[in-house]
Amino acid sequence: MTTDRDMDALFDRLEREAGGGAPGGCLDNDTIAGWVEGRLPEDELVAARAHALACPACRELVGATAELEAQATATRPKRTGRRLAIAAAVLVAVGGAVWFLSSPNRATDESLQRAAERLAEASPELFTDFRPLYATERDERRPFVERGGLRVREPKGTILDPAPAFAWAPVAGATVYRVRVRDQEGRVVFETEASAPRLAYPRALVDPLPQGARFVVAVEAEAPSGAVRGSEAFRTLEPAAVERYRRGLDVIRRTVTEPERSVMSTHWALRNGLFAEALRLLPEDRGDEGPAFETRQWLRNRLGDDE
Amino acid sequence: MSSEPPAIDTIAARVGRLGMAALQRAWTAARKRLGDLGLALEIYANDVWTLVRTRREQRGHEHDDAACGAIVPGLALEDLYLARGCEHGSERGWTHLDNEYRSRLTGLALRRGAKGVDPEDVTSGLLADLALPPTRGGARTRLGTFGGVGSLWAWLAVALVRRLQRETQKRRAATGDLFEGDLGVPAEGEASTDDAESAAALEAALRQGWAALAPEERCAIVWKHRDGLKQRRIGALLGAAEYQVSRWITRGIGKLREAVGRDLEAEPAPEPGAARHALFGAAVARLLASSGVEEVHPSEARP
Repeated sequence: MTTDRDMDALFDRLEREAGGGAPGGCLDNDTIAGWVEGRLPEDELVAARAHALACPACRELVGATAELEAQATATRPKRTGRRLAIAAAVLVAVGGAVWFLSSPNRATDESLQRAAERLAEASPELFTDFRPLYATERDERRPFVERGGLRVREPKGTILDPAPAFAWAPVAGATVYRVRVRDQEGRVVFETEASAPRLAYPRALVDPLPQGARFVVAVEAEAPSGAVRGSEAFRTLEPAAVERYRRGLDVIRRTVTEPERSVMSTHWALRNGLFAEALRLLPEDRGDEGPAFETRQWLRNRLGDDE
Repeated sequence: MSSEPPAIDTIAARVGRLGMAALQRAWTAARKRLGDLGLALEIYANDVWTLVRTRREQRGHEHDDAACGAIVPGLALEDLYLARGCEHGSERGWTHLDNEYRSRLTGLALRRGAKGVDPEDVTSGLLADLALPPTRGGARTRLGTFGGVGSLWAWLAVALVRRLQRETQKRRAATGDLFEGDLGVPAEGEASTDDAESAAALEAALRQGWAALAPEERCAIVWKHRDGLKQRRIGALLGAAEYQVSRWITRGIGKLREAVGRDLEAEPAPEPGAARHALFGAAVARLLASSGVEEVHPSEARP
């Protein structure tokens, strides 16, 4: 029975006997690493390609390393200034095609699972136990419990920013909203008024909220029909958890490309309890199926936004 | 690297605003993540600048501050913080390198290694050798030659694959390989058979066919069938569309099939004494069968 080893031996033999004669010296580790990760400058990329086409030894190194970097693109080196210019040009030139190809809706459960495995390999201390939201989990729906007649939209659940913005559903006829935040001991952290159904964190009044603590925001509006109230509990993430979350996002950014990157970032946020942050990370998409769409629906359900 | 780096303002003037901002961001972020490796910003920035400039000079480019500065933001700057910290003797840096990369490299060696190569040994050897001076000089340690063009992980992966290749070649030289030597000449004690002779002829034909392939055809076939890369990935590496890669592979296999000139799957079962040669023929048959190209009809085969 022919084995993979036999095939490898066949190629080794053919390649060895075909010989070298490649232009220039053999490729160094930096060049190969940069090439398979799509970070090589254009002039070096042209030279590296020409060399590898003629040099079996370098061809083998590139092939072996590229297998590991299956997600890297080789069309552009990752240079900030050039990347911005090229991204703009590509968006203008091919618009819808680019959107389609990189749409988070192109991510499948299989591709997300592969991305999760790569993340666990890249950063086992962060991602060994991490799993994207399974299809069965995404199908779960919870009834939304509205506390009071006024729905508070933000903040909810666990939040990243200790100076969050506040937002709630508008009340017909209300011109003033009173906003009060209490801590877990019931002490008032701050009280203020807003004329619109949103409020930026009042930094002039109070310092950012302590991290790793629980709070309740209550909003009251005077409407022609009477007072309308609503409240929502939320908590700020502990500093170590914030650090861990941010490190995870950085690993995802370095390890995963689209269309999986935005979905994995979203799942990483929601597995850290950051539902609002997770929804923010998932770009709007016109798709109506697949893990990205289902995740959006799941998050909206958890955040009480799936009216 | 000089022991006294220029002042940070001098470095900033050379690197440019964007480059310096990228260096400062990366230095701060890496320092936060990895801790203080005893690497001051000016030393780190000067080291990166020197690496970029040296690399350009080695490639025959004239010295150009602006061109060097434009390269800096695209480098793996946080990885360079770790590598430069180790280069300057930070024990903490070396410990972090080991902690972060050892298990991943071992896993890689396990997946890529040939039979008989111990993945942990190979990884330990690689990590230990990183602290040694490079054979061509230019740095205190081999890790100091990391230039940040790609990530440190990819750089280490290439180094590991090289090491695995050397181990395989050593083992092959010591024990002999399945296809080593002239297949036309049977091993000592092995009877010459018709299969051995036909295998030798097959090998000669295949060798000729292989040499006649276009470079892209050869490269695409090897990357697909030996290294298991998808055609799309091959296209990305070579700057070609997927359909082009598919065409190269199909054409290349077709040429090899024509060079071999017969339907290998119709070959009679090998004699026991010619197992080696039969395996060679079977490997060729498997390669030629994998492309989906039409099989050569026995009546069309050369005698």
